[in-house]
Amino acid sequence: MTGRLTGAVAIAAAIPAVVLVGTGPVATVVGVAGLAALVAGLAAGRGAAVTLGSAGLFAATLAAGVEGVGAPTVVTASGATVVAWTVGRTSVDLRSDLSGTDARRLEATHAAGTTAIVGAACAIALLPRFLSISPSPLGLVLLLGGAIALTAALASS
Amino acid sequence: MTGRAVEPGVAATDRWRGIGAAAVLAGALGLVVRRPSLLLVSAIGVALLAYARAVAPPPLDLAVRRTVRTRSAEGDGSHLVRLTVENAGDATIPDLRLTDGVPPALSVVDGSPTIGTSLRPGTTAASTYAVDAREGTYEFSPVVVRGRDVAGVVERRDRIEAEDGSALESEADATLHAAPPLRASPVRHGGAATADATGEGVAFDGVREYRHGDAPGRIDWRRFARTGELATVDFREERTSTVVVAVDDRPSATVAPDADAQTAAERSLTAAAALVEALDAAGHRVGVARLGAERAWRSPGRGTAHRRELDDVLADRPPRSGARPDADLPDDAALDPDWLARRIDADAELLLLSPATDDAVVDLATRCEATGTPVTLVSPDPTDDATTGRRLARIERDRRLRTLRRRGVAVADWALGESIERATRRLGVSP
Repeated sequence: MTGRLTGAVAIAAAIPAVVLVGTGPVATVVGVAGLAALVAGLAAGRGAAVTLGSAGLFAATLAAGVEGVGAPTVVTASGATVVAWTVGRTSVDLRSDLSGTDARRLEATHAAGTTAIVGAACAIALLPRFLSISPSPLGLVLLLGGAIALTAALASS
Repeated sequence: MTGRAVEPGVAATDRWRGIGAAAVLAGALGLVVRRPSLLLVSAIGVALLAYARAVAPPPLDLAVRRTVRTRSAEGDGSHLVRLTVENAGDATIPDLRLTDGVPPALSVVDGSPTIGTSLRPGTTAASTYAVDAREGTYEFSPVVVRGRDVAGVVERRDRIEAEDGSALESEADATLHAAPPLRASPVRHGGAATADATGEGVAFDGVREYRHGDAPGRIDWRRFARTGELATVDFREERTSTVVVAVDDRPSATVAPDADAQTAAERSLTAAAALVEALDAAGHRVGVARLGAERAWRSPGRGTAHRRELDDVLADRPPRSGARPDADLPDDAALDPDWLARRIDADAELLLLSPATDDAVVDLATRCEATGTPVTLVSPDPTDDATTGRRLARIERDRRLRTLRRRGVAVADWALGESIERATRRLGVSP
């Protein structure tokens, strides 16, 4: 059935995200709710529910970060959330666009490629830590300001 | 998917819409609560957006082919379409989606006219699907192609014509693979035959237990002499008969729903030729009659020369008049029942082909049934419900067919675009 493979991968990526950030009560509740919405969206073929569920997972990740969970955990959980969201949306799209087609090759390639890209993005994000860089507060603020400006520029164009 | 207008070109998909906002949110939150970990989460978003901006959609250098073939030998309009795509470029297309331009009038009954795959250079992918098509010619539209990068964030769209197989021609097949069921009951004939009737057309089919009322001529006396049991010999059902195939090709039968469709008279003549061939092949004695302005008659017989004569009589086509079923029909000579009755033998049966657009057909068939000639009517349907007048013509035709069935005539209503095989198959089933 079209979309099954990507759906399974999405759930497989979402579960570790929930587990990783399920340290505090808030993060756990929000994370589980997000996972439930994601699974429901995949089962019913509704893209909006998949996005909503992924947003819930992301909120749980942010909550965990606020509560002081370590950076590698938060970054990995965020990466897993992005993978679950992307691959889950693809699953829903395939079901509506190409229903009845055997697109497993496409789904496998997409899942693997997306994981690789997001994994690379996570590695880049964690680079400062691995290089044992401890930025000064000013440096941190400047870096953050630049990152936000860059993000805004990329997102708006 | 179908119906959505596709503009060839490159566009970003909305796959990662919201990542920018999420990244800003994470960064702002990290700043407010002073958690560096959240800043790093924001950095992920930045990196992904950079990828989305930098990545190019794959080139769509493709060779698309389409082959169409008839699915079944019965000519019931079922066709198989095979769509093949080959990556003629030298770059892998990680996310390739194709949708075939199926003509809107056709319905896909099996499979899906789509391909979704990841295609390396030089490799091919294919999809086969089945469509049902009534009689006619159908044009395929170009194939809609979409190619995306591996994450699915940018897309290149295009419309590609298939290299061949851009039209589908569906013909209601005009051949019969077996003779249609005939009216004459072989048991009735068998009962009248004498005990030593082992001539042509009567085939031994086994012995069964004697039933009270069986003709003494059919009792297996040898068995009785040997064992004292009464048993009756069964002859095989396929007793050969004498059949007259009569075609109503009066001007009132040269009608069709529109100017391009075959008229009822043309369909009758085509069907008559197929029926003559099938009946002759089954060993029956076949004759032909044409009941139109130019009457013709050939007595039932067998043999190659006889067949050729029959084919010649049927090959003479009437001119098209293109009349509609509700138009004022020319005042033509009524179907003269006497003319036909004088020529048909007592043991022959009548296979009549007529659209039943007037009551003369009902009179003829009723008269023949009443005088002991079994009648089977195969009636090409020239009506539709496009206008009130035509709906009326359809209702009246339905009424005539019902009347005939009530009077014992076997009737097969043959719809436009249907194969003759399918129409005559219904004769064996009681209504």
